[in-house]
Amino acid sequence: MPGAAAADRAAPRRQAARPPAGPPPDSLFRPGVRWASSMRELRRAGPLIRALAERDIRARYKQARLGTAWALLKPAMLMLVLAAMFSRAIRAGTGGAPYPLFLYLGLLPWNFFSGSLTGGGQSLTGNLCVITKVYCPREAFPLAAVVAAGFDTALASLVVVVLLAVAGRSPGAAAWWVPALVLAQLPLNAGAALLAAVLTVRARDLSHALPAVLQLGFFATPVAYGLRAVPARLRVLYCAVDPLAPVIDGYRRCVLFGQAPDIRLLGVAGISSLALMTAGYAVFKRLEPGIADVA
Amino acid sequence: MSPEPAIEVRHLWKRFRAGQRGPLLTGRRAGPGGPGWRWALRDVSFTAGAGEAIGIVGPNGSGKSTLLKILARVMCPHAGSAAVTGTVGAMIEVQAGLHQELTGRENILLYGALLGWARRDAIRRLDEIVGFAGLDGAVDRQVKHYSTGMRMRLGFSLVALLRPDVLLVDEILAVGDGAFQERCLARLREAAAAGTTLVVVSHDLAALARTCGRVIWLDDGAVASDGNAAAVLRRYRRSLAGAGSPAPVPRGRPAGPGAPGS
Repeated sequence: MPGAAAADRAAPRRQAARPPAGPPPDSLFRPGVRWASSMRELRRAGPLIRALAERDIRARYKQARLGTAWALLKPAMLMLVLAAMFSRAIRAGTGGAPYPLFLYLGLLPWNFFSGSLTGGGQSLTGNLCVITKVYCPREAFPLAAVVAAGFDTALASLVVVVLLAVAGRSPGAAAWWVPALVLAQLPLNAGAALLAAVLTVRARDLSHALPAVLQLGFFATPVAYGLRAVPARLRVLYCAVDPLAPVIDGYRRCVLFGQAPDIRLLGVAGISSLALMTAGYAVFKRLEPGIADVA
Repeated sequence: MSPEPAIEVRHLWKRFRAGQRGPLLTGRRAGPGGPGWRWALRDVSFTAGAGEAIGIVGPNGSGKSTLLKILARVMCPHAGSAAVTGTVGAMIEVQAGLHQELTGRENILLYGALLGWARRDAIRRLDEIVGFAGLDGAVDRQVKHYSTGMRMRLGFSLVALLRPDVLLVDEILAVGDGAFQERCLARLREAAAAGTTLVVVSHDLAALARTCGRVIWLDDGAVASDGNAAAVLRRYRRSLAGAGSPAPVPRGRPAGPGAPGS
């Protein structure tokens, strides 16, 4: 309406009447998931995810004198404490492998998951000052937390090399399964991070509840013990509920015993993980319009 | 005037929760039927042609920043629509988004990524931004060791060098010393001269009069007046003087929009 705009200029217009008490219901903004455009935007968000992950990693270790060495020291110290506690108490059924090594191979994927979940949970609330000022694809924040947790896990996996050398073992050709196992865990981590991020914005209570939930998850997941502790007839159901279990079991099989992972259990877990990621993304997109309102 | 409007806002409504939601466990409700809502924008409509410079005035809490955030796509409307044609650049308290632990250089690269630049472009523009901000010796220091002025200059320079079709500016005229403000104003006028559509929120009415041809006066979330800058600003000043305080509390709408001008 260029003509009307020009008319405005000539004399200030007084708004004729007081606005109505509320908007007409048919004009309400309806949030929804537009998959096609969201995917296009996500594909363009690669550089942003990378930059945010880099920032998270730099900021995390900048203050510490030992720097990124902490990415190795933290899980190694945790492993020592847990090994001292559990090597007698839990009949882990390690199948003859040294317990520290067996335990550490469980800790690595577990830390990758818990790091993604914790980092994802803080990723939006910790960046509200940016999110309320610049428009960008918001899912980049939790996904960057997954990348940063992956960086930590990659560094921490160097300890495995040391432990293998100490134990006098070398993984065979089955170790080629490792990249596939990393890939199998990604949808689980991404889904958990997306959900934790957007739900924490809605209810900050979640930041208090998450550590306790993770503690519970640590003991419910075969990190300190083996998947064999779960009765055979329940294992499929168990892996559907806890998709991390066959991944951890897979690492142990291929690194310690030269076996392929249990493909059937891994498949069940993969379906669960993909479902979680899809649901997490849908919930994220559905709640995304309200993120800036709570700041 | 171009046939296609650069900004088209139609019957825009936005609301926020009035106060916090009460804790669940105490059994107390925040009010009858829940916590209640407060309208931040009520039925706001306006159209801006390409190249127009629009100032937005109004007392604190009248919805100016909310309007800008919706135009910047940072917030979503509750009802109605706000369409912007072309690229949007927003100068909204940029320095608040700087990361304290990172250096100036790292912050510039990060901000470039937030704005969707390719890393190559960000690196290419780095020197230009550093030069404009006057930070030559300090780019590799952590931002937490910067002075307030340096932080502000860095934040401003990050967006000052953008060439968007529509530039949204919130209150930058109120911060910084005189020289910095002059620089902001000069940059705004330069952008306007180059054909950028400007939307400027400010309490600095004199600066608005020099920058904008048109002013929209928001009162309690509704458009109280919209038109020629000098005329709207005159009426707005008179309403401020009439209310007896520099920033009347808009709640309750005692006078109602438009009343002072009669």
